[in-house]
Amino acid sequence: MVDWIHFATSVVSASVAVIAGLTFFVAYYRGERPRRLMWGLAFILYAMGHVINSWLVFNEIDITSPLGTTAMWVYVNLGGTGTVGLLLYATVPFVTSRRFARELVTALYVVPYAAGTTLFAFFLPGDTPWAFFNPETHLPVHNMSWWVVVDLVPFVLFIGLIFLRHFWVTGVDWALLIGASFVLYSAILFIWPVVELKPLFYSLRTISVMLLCIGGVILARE
Amino acid sequence: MATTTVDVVCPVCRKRRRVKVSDVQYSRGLTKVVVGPGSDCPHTLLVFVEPDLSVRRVQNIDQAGLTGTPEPRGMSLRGVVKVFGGLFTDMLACVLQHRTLVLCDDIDVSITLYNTLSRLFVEPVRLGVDVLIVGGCHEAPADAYVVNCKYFIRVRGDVDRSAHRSLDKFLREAITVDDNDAAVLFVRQKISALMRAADIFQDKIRSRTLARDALTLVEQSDNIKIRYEDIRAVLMILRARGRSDVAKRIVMGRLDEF
Repeated sequence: MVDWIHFATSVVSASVAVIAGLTFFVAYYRGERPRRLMWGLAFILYAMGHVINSWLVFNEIDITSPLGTTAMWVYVNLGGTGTVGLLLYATVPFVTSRRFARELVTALYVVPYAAGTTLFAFFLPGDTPWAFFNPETHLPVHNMSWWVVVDLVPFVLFIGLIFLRHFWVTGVDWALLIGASFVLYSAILFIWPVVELKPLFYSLRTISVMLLCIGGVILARE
Repeated sequence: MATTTVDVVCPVCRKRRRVKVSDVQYSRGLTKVVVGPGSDCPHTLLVFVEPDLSVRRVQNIDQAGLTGTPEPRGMSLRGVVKVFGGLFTDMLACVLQHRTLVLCDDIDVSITLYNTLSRLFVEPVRLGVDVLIVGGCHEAPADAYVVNCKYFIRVRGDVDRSAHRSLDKFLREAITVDDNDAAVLFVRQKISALMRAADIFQDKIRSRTLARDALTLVEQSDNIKIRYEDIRAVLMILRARGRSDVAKRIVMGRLDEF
């Protein structure tokens, strides 16, 4: 039977991510700053990932099957390599102007993420000792999911802290909302791989993306 | 304020004229003083005085008919913004930075422009000092920001553009109002708030201060609300006043260009 709660929360999360992407497109249109365009694209990729997840849930595809694992791999790489990779590439120049810093930081995230998810999903056996961080059943797709958490959390937190620092210095609301969105995301990522808690994850994620949306709207209006 | 008298010779009738220059004026570098018609000499002169009080040039500006503040002529703020666009923002920034603004090549348009511009500032924008109106653009001093009012183009000179975002926004908001006086007052109020904020920063900020704390200070001192986006304009005013030291004490956010 279709897990309707999981499906609904995933669809809502994808829809809100599309709105978030559009708010950054509007912010780009108003301010013509390419980084906002990259943020908009990043959240459209994120929404696409969530649509794949919704499709998996709606069609009751077992994620441990070859099709399910491949779809999950596409999902986590759209939302991980694509979204967070783009966000880092667009945001690091605000932290340091050193040459190649953004390429280096982005590579530090993207390479282990893409390589790790690919290896755990398709090449390493489920009981590989490399997946020592996985507290769940040792299946390739679960190893991949937990690797996503391990690699994603510090970088998502990093992005959130950049914005929270900006809020601390300037007091502008959009920085607080965007920063809080990422910090919340980094906190709830730990429950994402747990199947029973997926609806909770997608509900909390919807809230965090809504914070981002509101931040994007305020940013666009400035 | 002490004044010094400088003698000049009218280039038309060769009569000797006496010009009073304040020490504040000539300490700022090359200064310009407008001398109206006198009992012996009927000509209006524009005199350029060096910091050492030597006279660099005396120019007859009778043909422009410019003494004191010319009579206002009818172009609304919306009209000026429409006609000059970003160039008008440059002109506002130029006045805020105490740079000499030269309007040239079309006296009629120049006067209209000057009248609109001068109304946007609480402090007087002095014709012949802050703004020069000359017939030929080549007559403009070398360090001036020069606008050709016939072709609506910048001839030469550059301005610090860090206040442009705020100034553009003020102008955009103002011209949505149908009432021209209200539009002018709106911009004047915004610009005077920036100037007042600069005064407060100058008086009260002694050590490194976060931008948001600096804004709170302005609000607490004078009940003036300045938005974070406008703080760069305030810093530009401080730099123009020669108070870069104060401007550097304000800690700005890194995501301003986000």
